[in-house]
Amino acid sequence: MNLVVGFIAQILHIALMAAAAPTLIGLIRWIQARLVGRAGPPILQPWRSLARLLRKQPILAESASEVSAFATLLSLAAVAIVAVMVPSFTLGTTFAPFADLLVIAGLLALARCSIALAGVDAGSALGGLGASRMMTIAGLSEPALVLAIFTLGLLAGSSNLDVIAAMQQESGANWQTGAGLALIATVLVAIADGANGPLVRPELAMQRDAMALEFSGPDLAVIDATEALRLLVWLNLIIAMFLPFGIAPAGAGLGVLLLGFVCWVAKLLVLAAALALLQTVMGRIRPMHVPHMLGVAILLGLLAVVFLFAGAGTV
Amino acid sequence: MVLTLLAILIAALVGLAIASVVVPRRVVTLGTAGVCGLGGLLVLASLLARGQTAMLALPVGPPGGAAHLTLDPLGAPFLLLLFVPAVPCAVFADAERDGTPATLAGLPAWLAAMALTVLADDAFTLALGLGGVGVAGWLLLSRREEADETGGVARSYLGLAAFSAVCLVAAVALMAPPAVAWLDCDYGAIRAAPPEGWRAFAVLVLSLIGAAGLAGLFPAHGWVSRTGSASALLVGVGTNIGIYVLFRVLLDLCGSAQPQWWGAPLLLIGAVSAVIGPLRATFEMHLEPVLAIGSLHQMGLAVMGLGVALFAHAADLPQVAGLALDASWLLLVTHALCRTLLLLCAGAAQRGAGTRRLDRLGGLIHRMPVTGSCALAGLFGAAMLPPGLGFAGLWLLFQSLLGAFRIGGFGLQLLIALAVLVVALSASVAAMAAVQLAGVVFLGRPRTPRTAVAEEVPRALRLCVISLATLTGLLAILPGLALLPATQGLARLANGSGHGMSLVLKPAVEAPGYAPIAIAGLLALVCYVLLWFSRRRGPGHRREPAWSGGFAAPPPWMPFGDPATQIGAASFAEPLHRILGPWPVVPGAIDLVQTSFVRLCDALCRASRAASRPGIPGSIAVTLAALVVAIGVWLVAS
Repeated sequence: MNLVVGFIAQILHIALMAAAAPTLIGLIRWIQARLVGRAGPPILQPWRSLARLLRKQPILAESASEVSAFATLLSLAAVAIVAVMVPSFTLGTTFAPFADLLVIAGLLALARCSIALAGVDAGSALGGLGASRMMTIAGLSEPALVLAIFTLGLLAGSSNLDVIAAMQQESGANWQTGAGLALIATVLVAIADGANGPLVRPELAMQRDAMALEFSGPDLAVIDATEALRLLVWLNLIIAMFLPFGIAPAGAGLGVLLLGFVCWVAKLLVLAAALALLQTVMGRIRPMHVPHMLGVAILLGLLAVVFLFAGAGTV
Repeated sequence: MVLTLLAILIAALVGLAIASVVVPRRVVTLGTAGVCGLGGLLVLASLLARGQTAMLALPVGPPGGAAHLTLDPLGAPFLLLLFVPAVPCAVFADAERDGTPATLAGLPAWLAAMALTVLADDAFTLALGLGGVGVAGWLLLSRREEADETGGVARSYLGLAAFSAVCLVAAVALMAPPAVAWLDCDYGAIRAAPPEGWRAFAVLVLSLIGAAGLAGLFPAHGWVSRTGSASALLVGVGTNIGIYVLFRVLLDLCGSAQPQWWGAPLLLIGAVSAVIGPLRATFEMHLEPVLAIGSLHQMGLAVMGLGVALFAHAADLPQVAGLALDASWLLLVTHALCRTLLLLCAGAAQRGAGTRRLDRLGGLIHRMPVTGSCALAGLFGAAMLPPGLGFAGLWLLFQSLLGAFRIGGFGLQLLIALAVLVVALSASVAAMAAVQLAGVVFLGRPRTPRTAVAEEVPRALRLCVISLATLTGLLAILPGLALLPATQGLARLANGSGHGMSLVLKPAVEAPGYAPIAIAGLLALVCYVLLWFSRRRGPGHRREPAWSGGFAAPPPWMPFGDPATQIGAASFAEPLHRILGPWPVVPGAIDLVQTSFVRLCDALCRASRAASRPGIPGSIAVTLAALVVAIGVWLVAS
């Protein structure tokens, strides 16, 4: 019975992710526009853009190889699998046993590497520049993320995301300093890794957008969809790792599931608003300042582990 | 039975090396490939039959003794790591157009010496094997054409291997119980009475130094990036045996009675190597050095796994030790397969495109689709991305670090937190180096007219890289299959029980784990659906000139565009180098230590060479004489 419920919940979760990803981007862009006093685009605008791009004829640069088209698909597939595995409104879905945090970090890295390969494939200057910048930033953001994962793994005794979310739910208000520091580190990594990717203006970022310059039509739609999904994945990941209150436990009844759904939507809205506010207040982070931010994230991650055993020693 | 056959195969390899003076090139190389394939099959069969430890005393040996060989569950999987990737290497050697007689003789001789090192059961046989490795490696590297470019790497390899041999043989000799003459003392006698006190400490230091030289670990990694066209064999295949010596000496022979801090030096050496490897790879400007120095990445991580295993061993946590050893083994398999595959692809690229300079290559996947795809597969496996082969090892290493954290103690926990940081940093930099290499060499546009007309290598070589890439992919989704040969031996080392073949890697029996087959299946499914969706819409892509940031179209005499408008190897890693700031100075400092070390070895070699002007036979004679003298000194001393 639990298996069936888990499967149905998994299907619902997948549908929810697919529906939420572009809508979330539209929502954040709308909030950003309202914050600076513009009318803003409709919330469903990303859907329209995707549909428009999908109608176009696929075009590839002459100097590009088949790797270009395949790498964009692989990157979407990797992020999509992460979206399937990270829980939203309930734990105990079918793919929950595979939702290892290190695997999730690895799949996000895989998505990043393949989009970087797509960027350099056509041999254009800006694509290579974007790939180089992104891989450099990833080189620093990954250690910080892994340290945060290590902290949570020590607290929960497993690196599986479902186990960690359940552990966080149980510890409840009794929040550990280590987990708090890990949260800050993860947020910094999320910002660096492209939680803000789709939200800054292309001519300023010169990272992912630079790599997408040689693409158009359906291939560009795939890249845009990947970006939208990645943003949703990062918010979901932060929710599941650090703020899992309200998520229905495995094998819960319908009422608890509904509550979980409401909680998830509420948390997502709050995080989206916070992200929009952050973007509007801070503006753009200069590429050469990102490493400093990530250095802080790595230190916070180390501190999180240190606090963990310092706490364990005194208790 | 199997051991006798293996001894015959080793003799056959030696025979091939001697016969290489008279028989045609093809007989030697293909004969070597055949012998290696046969050896691999033999070892695999004995492993699958769960054969018990076999011993064999050869009638040759020190005065009054015999050379002991053994095939046990620890040595056998390493023989597999030696023989399997050696087959494509030998086939590639066959296709080499500019080999000299010396390199031809070196190939089977080196493999025989390596196999002897693994099979050795006493200090004498170990000395024989390691001495042979040095001499045969020197033969392999002694190529006239590369003399100016590689700068006497043959001599430094010989020196380093001789130095390693002296250290390792001394370590084994130190472990011999006082009552037994060390030359007659086989491993069984050592296991019965593991070393203690200062002897144990000396064994640790000596074996670490010796293995670092053999495996190309920090601080003796200088030779790794300079091995040129012999790198697939020396770096891809040979360095694993250095780690085997560590397994054998530190875990098997020294037993479990050693103090906890023994893990710390291994963790440190492994950590430094794991970070230096990929970082140095972003600085190198030639194809083979980039790939060869990247070998330090997996080697370092494997040694870190060994360090964690020693910690867990001392704390009596067999499960954590088992995890760490499994991680170490998977990383070694990754290294043996992916690194060999990559270095062979580098050889193919050099053959097809006529250069190994990164700033002249580019866009090879258009002209060499098979080599390019296989190289991308190898980079994927080596870059520690799921569901690749390397990631399985990395995941297990992470789990063992999680487990080892519970041993307790502030110093240890801080060390493990730093180890986690290093593992992640090295993996992410390795991913960057892999993207850089793939982007500069195989993707993009050609940078010279010569590269634009590169030719795919002959079918035999293509088959070699394809089979290696297929094996890598198969083991990536079924890591249980890669663990299977080593299960028995590793479980014995960890004092735990062996686990059967499983689809899911798990830190504990009931815990959720990592299922590469599920991840790979999901990835394939989603990719297939997306592909089907895009194909359904009609014909493939229309081709148009690249927008390329608005640069003007290149003139007609530049059919592949202006090479200068494309990111290159130096520019790709430039942001990283800028962030690292004073980093370029740091390898200078490390190089200083290392070059002085290599210079010392060089000076020793030169002294020996000065005594033997006539060339190769003379050098062999001098090395043998030195060995005899060393043995004589030891005999007198004991």
